[in-house]
Amino acid sequence: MGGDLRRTWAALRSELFTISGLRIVIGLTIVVFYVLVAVLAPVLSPFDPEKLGVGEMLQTPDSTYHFGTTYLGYDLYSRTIYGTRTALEIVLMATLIAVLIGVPLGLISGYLGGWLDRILVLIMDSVYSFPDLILAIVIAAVLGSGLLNAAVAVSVVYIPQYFRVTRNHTLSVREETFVEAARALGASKLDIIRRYIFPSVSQSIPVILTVNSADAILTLAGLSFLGFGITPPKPFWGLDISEAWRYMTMTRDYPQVWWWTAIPGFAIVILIVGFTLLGEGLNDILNPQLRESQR
Amino acid sequence: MGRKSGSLLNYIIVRLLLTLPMVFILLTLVFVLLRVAPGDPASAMLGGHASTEVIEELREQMGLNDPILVQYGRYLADVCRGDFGISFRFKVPVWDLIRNRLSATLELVTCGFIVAVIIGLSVGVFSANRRGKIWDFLGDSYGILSYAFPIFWIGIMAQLLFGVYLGWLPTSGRFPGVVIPPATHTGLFLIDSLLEGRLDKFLVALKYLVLPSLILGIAISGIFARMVRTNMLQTLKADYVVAARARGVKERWVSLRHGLRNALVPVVTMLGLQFAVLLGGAVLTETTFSWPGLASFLVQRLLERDYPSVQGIVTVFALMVAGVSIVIDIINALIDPRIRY
Repeated sequence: MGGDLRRTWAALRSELFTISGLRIVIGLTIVVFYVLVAVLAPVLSPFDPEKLGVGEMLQTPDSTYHFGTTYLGYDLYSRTIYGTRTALEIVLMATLIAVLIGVPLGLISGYLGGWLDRILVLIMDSVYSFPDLILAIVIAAVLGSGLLNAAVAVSVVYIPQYFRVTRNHTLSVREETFVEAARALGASKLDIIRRYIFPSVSQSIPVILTVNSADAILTLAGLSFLGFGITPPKPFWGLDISEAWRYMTMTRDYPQVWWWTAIPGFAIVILIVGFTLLGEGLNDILNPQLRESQR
Repeated sequence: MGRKSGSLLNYIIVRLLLTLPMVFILLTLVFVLLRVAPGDPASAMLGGHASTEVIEELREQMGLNDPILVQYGRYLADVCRGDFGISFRFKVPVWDLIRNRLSATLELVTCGFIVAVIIGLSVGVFSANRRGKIWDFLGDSYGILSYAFPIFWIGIMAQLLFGVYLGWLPTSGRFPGVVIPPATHTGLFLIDSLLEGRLDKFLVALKYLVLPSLILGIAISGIFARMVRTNMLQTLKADYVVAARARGVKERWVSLRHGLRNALVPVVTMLGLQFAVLLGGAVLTETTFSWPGLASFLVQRLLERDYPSVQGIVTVFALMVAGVSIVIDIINALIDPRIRY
């Protein structure tokens, strides 16, 4: 593993001033910034994000309420900061669940083959072909709201992706000489998968992980906008946009509350741009053949 | 070469047969999901204050007390019959509820798809021809940004700008309540109004369609643009392209005839895969613009635990995705005669 890290680092250093390197630097800066905000949320927020009426209702942004207040007098600044926590927590949980289920299934399916492989591929392909967001909505509706439930709903969408990548990689590694040798020496199937195949397969995971994180945030935002997964008063950007929108369509009091939709929206956009840049930069550097063919 | 048309037909039949297990798996998955779910449709329908006996009676009526396999068999029979069973909430066949909404969704998704293809192809070809230049960079940024903006959020912003502030376009619904919509032939208002010979109704329908389909299309177009660019760059490096250049063929001709045409097969395939993303986006677009389609209907029925409706809608979505992937494969087989399985 140390060798891998050093090689990645060397590649990174030589790429720092290319477009891919720049993407990684910008992407990483954004993501690290969000992580810091999430960790330091209690220090950074002047108010309790879930407390009603900390300010007058619908105050424009000023020095006390930096991002203004909502209809119920929530402080939007604190809610935006704590929203970072909600977003990253759920994305982290969802990715973990997806990896923990998708990768082992992919390894087993790819290595053992046979009817188990065929059935798993069929199921995963069916799930994969179905519209992500609609699947997530159905699952979130079935499970009810809550952080973990939202994470599960989001993760189901990504399990097939980890499964496919792992399985395909396993299929190609399975026939390599070093695996052949291990098999000839009498290593057990579990040992071969764990010690020989997994380390090689695991290299393709970080890229999908970052790209999926961007997508997961969009899915989560969509879920909460439609009223599934996370429910008020939990601070989350998608939820704030949804509440603002409901308020606007009900009162027809449109332009007066611009901050209530605009600010959470930008919070989403910037984080997704960060994850996307990071994922693509990593992809360029870790899969150089692919990049050669695209430039 | 004589058996060429025969093999295409075979190919289509095999393709259709391969789709069936996929749809079946999704049907089963949704059925199982809804049964293991906490929450009871009967009590959800009656509200919190109903007595246990009333709830029990309703459960009996809805067939919820039957063994799970009996329910599953009934469900499959409903799907095969094509009416998807009786809605818990509306007491009418689900298909009757879905039909009109399906055409609304189809109209929105088709127009959104056209917008996405037009923008995606132009931006993609444009950046591929200017690779490494500032326009390429701008095209790339467009790709990332159009993906990063949540569809409902730009939807709201567009409503505020074009609907409320400028007042140019309607922000919700599919047709004004005071005008009689065109008679139903296809269910697509754009086509029905033309069939009726009413240009005025066509324009009204178009006006309502502009914002939602543009927003939906733009949201997907970035992914298209990047796929087109990547695939074109790959084909532009092929030997026959270099050879064409060496023969002195004009650059524009090289790019379109050799580059784009050969990039088309992977691009068409990926467009097909993106159809599922488009449907997902339609849920958000429909909700944002109060579009009376299938996706927003699904959201409401889920909240009420109207199982037959949810199952019906999911089945229709699965069939749509499967249908599109078959069409895409056939188009590919037509573009590139080498593709046969």
